Amino acid sequence: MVLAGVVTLGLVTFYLNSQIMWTDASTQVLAQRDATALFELMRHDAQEAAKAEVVPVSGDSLNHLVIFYDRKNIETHRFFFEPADSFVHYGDSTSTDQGPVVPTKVERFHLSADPALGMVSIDTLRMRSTSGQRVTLSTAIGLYNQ
Amino acid sequence: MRLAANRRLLSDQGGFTLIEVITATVIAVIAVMGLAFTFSAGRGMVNRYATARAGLAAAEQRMERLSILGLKNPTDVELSPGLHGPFPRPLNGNASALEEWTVTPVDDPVDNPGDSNPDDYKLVTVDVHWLSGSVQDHVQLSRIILQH
Repeated sequence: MVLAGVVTLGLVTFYLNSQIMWTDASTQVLAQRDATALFELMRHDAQEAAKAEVVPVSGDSLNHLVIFYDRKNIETHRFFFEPADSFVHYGDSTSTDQGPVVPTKVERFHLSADPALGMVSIDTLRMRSTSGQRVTLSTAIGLYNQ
Repeated sequence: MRLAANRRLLSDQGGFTLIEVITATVIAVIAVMGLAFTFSAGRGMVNRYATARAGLAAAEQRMERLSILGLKNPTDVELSPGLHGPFPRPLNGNASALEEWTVTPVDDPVDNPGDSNPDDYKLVTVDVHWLSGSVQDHVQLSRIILQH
């Protein structure tokens, strides 16, 4: 009886752990897909840009705003971390906030720019999945319209 | 009368033998150990691919930098033919990672013969490799970079 109880407890624990694991994995995949979608949109806009400016979001030195400019030094697009909702927002050439790019919460949106080379590095994009799992990605984007 | 009833009761015992109990225990333990192993192996794979994801990001970053250099300064030392590195490139807390890239000149057959400059393109291959436990993992990206 005791043995059967121990075995059953082990199986139930394993079942619960496996459920938690696949839920974590699935939500991580969704967060990663959103991060990739954000990268792709930024890459698309950056490749048409001649210049990029990276500045910290007001009151937050860890998260940034990036503004892309064309050859005439006119703003074309911007991406920025919005502390009010923890999403990365997108802005068009009129600097109007077009809302969040993807519906996954962002914990860190840390960028840097190399003006001499013409490259924007997304040093850290850390997203938090709906189950609390963190997905951290980074990439670099060249400005090919210089 | 009472004695006969007790004897009948004693001779009518049911249940498991010791061998059956031991066999069932061994089977149960093997089954649970197998399930636990698959669980830990799955967890290990998740961590392994997290490092691989960081490795891919590192390779992409290097490739993007070299592509931009190809546009702005194709004679930069980072684009000189041959092997560059390996250089340390910590990934996701894994300090064993190394990054290297190879630049190979490519002659476009279209402009032959009489081609005065056989180095029309650069084939750049970036390789990031690291140890996952005792396993050597790596990510490799290749791209043709035009010489402007």
